[in-house]
Amino acid sequence: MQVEQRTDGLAEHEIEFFKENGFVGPFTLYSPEQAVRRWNQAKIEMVTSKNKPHNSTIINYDRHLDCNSLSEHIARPEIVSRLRSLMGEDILCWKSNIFPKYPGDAGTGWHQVETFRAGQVGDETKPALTYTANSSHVTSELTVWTAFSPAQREHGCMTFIPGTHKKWYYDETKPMKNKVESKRNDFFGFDYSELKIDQDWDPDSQDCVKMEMNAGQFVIFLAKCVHGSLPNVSSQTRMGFASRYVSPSVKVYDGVDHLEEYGERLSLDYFSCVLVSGEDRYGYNKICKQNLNGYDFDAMRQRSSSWERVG
Amino acid sequence: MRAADSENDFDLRRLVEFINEQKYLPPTDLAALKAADRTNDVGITSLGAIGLVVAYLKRCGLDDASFNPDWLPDLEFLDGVLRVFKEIDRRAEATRV
Repeated sequence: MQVEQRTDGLAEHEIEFFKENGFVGPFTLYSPEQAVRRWNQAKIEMVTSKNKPHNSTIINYDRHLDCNSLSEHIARPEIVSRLRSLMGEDILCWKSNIFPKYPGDAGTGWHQVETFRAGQVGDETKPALTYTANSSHVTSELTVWTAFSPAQREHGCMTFIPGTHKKWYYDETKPMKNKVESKRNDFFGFDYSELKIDQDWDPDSQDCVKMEMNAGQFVIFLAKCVHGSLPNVSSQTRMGFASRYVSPSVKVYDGVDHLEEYGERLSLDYFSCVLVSGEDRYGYNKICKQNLNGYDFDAMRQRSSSWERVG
Repeated sequence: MRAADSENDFDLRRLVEFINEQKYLPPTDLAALKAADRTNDVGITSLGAIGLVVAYLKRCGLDDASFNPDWLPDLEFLDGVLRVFKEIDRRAEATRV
């Protein structure tokens, strides 16, 4: 299968679409077969990694910091070149999440974030991201969600409400209630609808986009654009991998030394950001030059910066 | 495909014992394995199944670099895990000869 290899960033109409809607895509990065092989390799690395970032099997965050296949993925020039079109030259990868949705799993409730609150539900939470400057580019924060399995409607594809990045519909600083009763509002076991600023606003009545993707495709979006996912009514697990990016002007985990989620406490001693493009002109964040198993991020960034449009 | 009772009871007992030695996996018993088809049916995730095979490689004196990515589809099923274990047994035997 011929796979698009554009590394020259977003086209003008794609940038305008993003500004208006808060998301853009999908883009093809791997063929479906390549995506399956890459995810299989990532799974093997997750288990056999000699230097795991942490021992949590529940909060399996940031495996791009030790799994070479994921270290390579987050800095793919096909991804980074598009991020540059929206964020400018200087970009850090600060987090990655794995989002399996097993057959029969519910959809993820609508949510909207910008600072990614850290900390235990019920306690005072702190922002994972602290914005120190207004960006001269379109945005200082983006998420890339890559499908490593088919992610069509029946598998539980992502959904977006276009244009909702322009206004706050949820107050992410409010604590969330645990053990949600309504599956419509299920946000990983919490009820995100409790955070609505206007409790009468009904996201389900809004026009939404169902971002159906093939394995190997990715979408770029602002976490501030209200988004969620459909339930998985198929017999196949849907596997999504989110990599999150910020400008170096954003402080990551400032004053936050641990995460407490899903009953686990995770020290952030392992944590660092990855410079995937340009320079860090601020020095706010710890940057790693290699992953925990020696994969060279600097060399990858230098290779990426020299890539040109192919085909 | 369910494990055939006549051939695999011994293998399943060994598998039960081995699973129960892995502290990160939920405990199980022979009845549960005989009733199950997929590894997920007994609470073993895809990563858990990989971990199980890596542990078995180490038990047999082989390096985890011996893990064959082609095994992954097999690991969705308990029969598949048994097949992979037997292949590991053969490899380990070959290194001892």
